[in-house]
Amino acid sequence: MLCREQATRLRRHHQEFVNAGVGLVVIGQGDATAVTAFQRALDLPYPVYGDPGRAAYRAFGLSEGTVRQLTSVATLAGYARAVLSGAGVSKPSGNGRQLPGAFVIDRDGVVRYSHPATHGADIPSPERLVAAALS
Amino acid sequence: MTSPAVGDAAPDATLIGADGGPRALRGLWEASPRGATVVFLRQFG
Repeated sequence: MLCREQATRLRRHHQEFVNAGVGLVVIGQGDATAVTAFQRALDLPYPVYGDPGRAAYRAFGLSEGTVRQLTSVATLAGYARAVLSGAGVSKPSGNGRQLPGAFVIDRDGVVRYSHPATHGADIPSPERLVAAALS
Repeated sequence: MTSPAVGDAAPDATLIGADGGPRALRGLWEASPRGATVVFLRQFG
């Protein structure tokens, strides 16, 4: 649910990433079937990739959340926001304890923005990500 | 493992595309003039 809302928000801001000359890539747990289903269901214009073994998650230091991180007030508020957005629900794939994250990486492979989540709904806004890419 | 900080070299990894083929993460930030914003979702769903 949170992921659908996040992906939909990124879709609405996709052109801003294009205008900034920065690629937008979304990664989720799951195989090619899950990638295709997610991308088609939400009509996402940007590339989506799967990381079924979570090797990329681990490489970027994104861990599983603790019970406290996954049930925090902030996380529950994020779920409430997702419900109100009408993003909808589908059968999730992968480990539900996985925490999200976002990174801006320049063309030389240097990290310019790093945001590993501190709770289950700790997701930077698209506006924040575009600004980070332009800074 | 800790997350890369600003100024660190980004780690590479192999992802799976919608076509089922492997795709190097590195190639994604090398493909755009200003690199890439890489967003990790919690899950698909």
